[in-house]
Amino acid sequence: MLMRKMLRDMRSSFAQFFSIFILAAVAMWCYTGFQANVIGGGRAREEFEKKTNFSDGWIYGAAFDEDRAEAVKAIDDVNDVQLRSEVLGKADEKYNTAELYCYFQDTKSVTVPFVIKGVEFDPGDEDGVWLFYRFADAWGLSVGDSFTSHVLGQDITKTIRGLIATPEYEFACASTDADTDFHNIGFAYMSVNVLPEELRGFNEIIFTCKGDPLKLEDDISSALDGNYAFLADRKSIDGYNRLTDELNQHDGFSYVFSAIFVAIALLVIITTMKRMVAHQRTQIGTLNALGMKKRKIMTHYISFSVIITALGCLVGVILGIFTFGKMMVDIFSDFYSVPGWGPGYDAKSVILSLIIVLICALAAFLSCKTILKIHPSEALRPAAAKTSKPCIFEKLPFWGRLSFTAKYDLRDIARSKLRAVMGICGTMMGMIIMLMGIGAYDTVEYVKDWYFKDIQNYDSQVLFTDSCTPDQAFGIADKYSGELISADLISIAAEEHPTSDDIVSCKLTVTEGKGLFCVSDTDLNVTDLEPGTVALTMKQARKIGLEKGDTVYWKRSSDNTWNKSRIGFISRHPSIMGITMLRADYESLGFEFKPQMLVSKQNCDSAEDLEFVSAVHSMSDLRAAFDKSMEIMDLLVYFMIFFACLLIIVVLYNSGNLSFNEREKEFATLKVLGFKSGAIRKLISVQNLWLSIIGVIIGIPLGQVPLQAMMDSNGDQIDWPCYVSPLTYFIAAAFVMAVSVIVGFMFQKRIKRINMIEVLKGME
Amino acid sequence: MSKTQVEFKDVVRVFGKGDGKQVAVDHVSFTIDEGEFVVILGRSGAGKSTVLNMLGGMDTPTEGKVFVDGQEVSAMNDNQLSVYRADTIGFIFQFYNLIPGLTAFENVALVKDIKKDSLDADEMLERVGLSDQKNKFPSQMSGGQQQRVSIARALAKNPKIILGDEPTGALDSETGLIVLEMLQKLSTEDGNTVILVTHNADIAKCANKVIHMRNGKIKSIKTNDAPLSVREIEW
Repeated sequence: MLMRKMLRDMRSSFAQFFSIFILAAVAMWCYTGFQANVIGGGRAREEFEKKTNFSDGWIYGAAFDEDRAEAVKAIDDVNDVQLRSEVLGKADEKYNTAELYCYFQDTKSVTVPFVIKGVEFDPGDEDGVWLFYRFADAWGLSVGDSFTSHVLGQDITKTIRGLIATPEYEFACASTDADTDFHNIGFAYMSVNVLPEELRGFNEIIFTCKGDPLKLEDDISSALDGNYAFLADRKSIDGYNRLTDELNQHDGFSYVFSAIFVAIALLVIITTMKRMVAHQRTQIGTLNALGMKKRKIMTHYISFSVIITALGCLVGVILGIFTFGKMMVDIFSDFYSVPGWGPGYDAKSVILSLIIVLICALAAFLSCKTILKIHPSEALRPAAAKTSKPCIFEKLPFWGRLSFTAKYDLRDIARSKLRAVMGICGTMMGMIIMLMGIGAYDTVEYVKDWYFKDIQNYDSQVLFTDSCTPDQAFGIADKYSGELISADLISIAAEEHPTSDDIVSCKLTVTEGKGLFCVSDTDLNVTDLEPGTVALTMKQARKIGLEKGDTVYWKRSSDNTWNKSRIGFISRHPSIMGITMLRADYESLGFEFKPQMLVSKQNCDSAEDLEFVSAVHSMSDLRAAFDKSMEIMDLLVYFMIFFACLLIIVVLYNSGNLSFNEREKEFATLKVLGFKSGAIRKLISVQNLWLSIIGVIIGIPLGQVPLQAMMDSNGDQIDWPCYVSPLTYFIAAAFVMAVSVIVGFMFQKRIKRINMIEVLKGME
Repeated sequence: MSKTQVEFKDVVRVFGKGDGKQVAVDHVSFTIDEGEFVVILGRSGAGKSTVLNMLGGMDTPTEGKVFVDGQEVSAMNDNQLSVYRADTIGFIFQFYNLIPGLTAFENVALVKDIKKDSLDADEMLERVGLSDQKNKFPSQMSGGQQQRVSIARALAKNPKIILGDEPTGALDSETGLIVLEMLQKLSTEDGNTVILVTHNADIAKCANKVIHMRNGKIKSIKTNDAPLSVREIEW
């Protein structure tokens, strides 16, 4: 019977219970949606790494041989070792001379190519090549086709034996592209015997190990007598680490978003259950008087919360996996190359659902226990009217001049604090998410302006091939009045003899200081590099604890010598992290300035035909590529805006609904007195609007915090300062206000339908 | 000769449909003159409150017509009914129905938001003897005091007709008498039409006219040429 009562009660308070259902469902929808991607991606990667025996460490150097590999293998915690030669080559011209990373090996034990199609990689097969499947798909290449590459001055034509993937290229983007285009980036595995004997050397030892490979550096250094350039772990492999960062970000999102919705659901449950048990006070008294145990009555009221939230969680989990999660996986698996990536789920969804149900049940318990403590005889009588007393707002100097609506609404807020808190918190959360969503758009535009107008103060970018000589570069720089840039991978540290833990991998950018390729300070103002000093990016400076005026130690990936430079200022760049220095200073250290890029204010399209030029990009090309790379960000933005809207609507409607139900008798009285429906609606709307305004005001300063956290969660290789434009604040606030007003209109019909007689009699 | 102010013409009010159909008011007709103190008497379920609700513009007849000052109330739409309730009717409820979040003064003064030419709230509270309680909230007042605020609120609208649904029903006898006395004075001294619904036959002795209802029908309509003063009746 109590079940029937519960169902009927739910029907009569449908709006509130539906809100709780929606909030619980959305919480789990968000969670499982993000987690479907994170878990699915995580599992697929784990399997991928296992099948390929993916390396944990990379030792870069020159002239590695079997003996050195054996010496590394002899280190206690090292498991498997692989010698290989990694060379950046080019695909044939008919494949747009795409960047092609070639791996030459004579064995296969670590980072073994995962075959998507064709036969397993055979390092003894001198006639075959194993090609990145995404690149092959982009060019319509398949197993059995002939493929030509140009590596180390050799034209190598081989038959494609297999289409492959490796975890090192989960993310792949050509250095000439701003965004992934599989036409321009590929990798190939071949037998080392494909190369002429004089070129058969190994420049990498990759290995698997127990624990952190960087902790083995001392052992490795002594095993190799210090004859290596650089030791890297997985975090330094951009093709691998980028997805790790992205999945970590989504993992964080899944908890943050679901927590927001659960918090609001709790507020709704508390307000709804408190109101319901207060409303059913005499029924509770009757059941008690009839001899029903308090525990049974309590179970009855808790079951409202349990059933609704459990149903909501169930629907959320199912929808999360099969709608949002699947959509995320589809988009991400298209962008990243991880075989077998599908939506995943685990027991955490069930555990989190149970936690949500339990927390909500606890909220219901706390809401009901006060009434159940009352003696049955007392509960049988209607509750004494809520004691009113002058509210805090009456101390306002202009209280006396306020209209009836204002006084009435302010007193109501003072009397129903929890409902007011729910309204304020809900709109505040909605405002924050809305600011995060639209603010992410602003940030993209802001960074775009900063990047393309301030930092890149040029109109054309000419990328040189590896074979480009400095003279060729200087010649073209003169022709186009441009600035030459070179870049290199480096390690930096705050001390001269750092341990592995104190080293940070980043980039060295060398400019000619002509003001075309600029550097920004921490306030994002373009700042000239002072000769004799370098600029160090903010994130890296913080990481190793350096400031302006300190000395930074750095070494190139191809050297073993540590250099030192004074930090002229701390800089910021959206995507290039590390040190920027002037060419003269670089050359004064004894290094040869070997430009890889020319930037110019002139149109450099005619340079495209030069043999030492690999690509020419105009600023509009670069902007278009940047926009394309923001597609995933766009998805997150739409997602956040959608959920912000949903949250704001649910919360404000629920707040209005509770307000309506609690004051229905008063509204009926006002109607009897002659108040028109519009005037009564105004009472609800004005109060909702006030709560929204407070929520908006609190939400405004808080909105930037999670937005910056979201931007920072992209890892150390990206530095995007968040920016929310005044227009965004206005749009978000206007939206919240508009919903608030619209919600008021949603009550118009109910106000019109108030049965004055029934309500006034029924509430006795 | 007094002018007819209220006219019920063959009014029927049916609630529900089919098997659940209940006839609350069954072909009721009567008239009330301006300034009369009328009591609609009857037991619980007699249909007296339904009559009052239709007269107050809170309910509409299923059949028949209700006229007030020649205007057909039963044909008014929602908006017209709001204006009618605001301008013509002052309602006093059994359970006072004051707004708990407003003080006594504000409960009376809120009428200003409905009717621009409403009477001064301070004066009305003085009239019901509650000037010193004006800043108290309903929950800080006794039932009698709350009912007097309710009367002050009804009076503030300067209504043509004052309707009371068991206005003394929730009060003790002494407080009930004070309230009743006040209502009688409104009719005898101020010339307001006062219509009360009650099941208390003693109250009927104070009225000019007593409409006795039973099972939704009018059992009798009696005119009382010499109504007793409230203090003369036995409670």
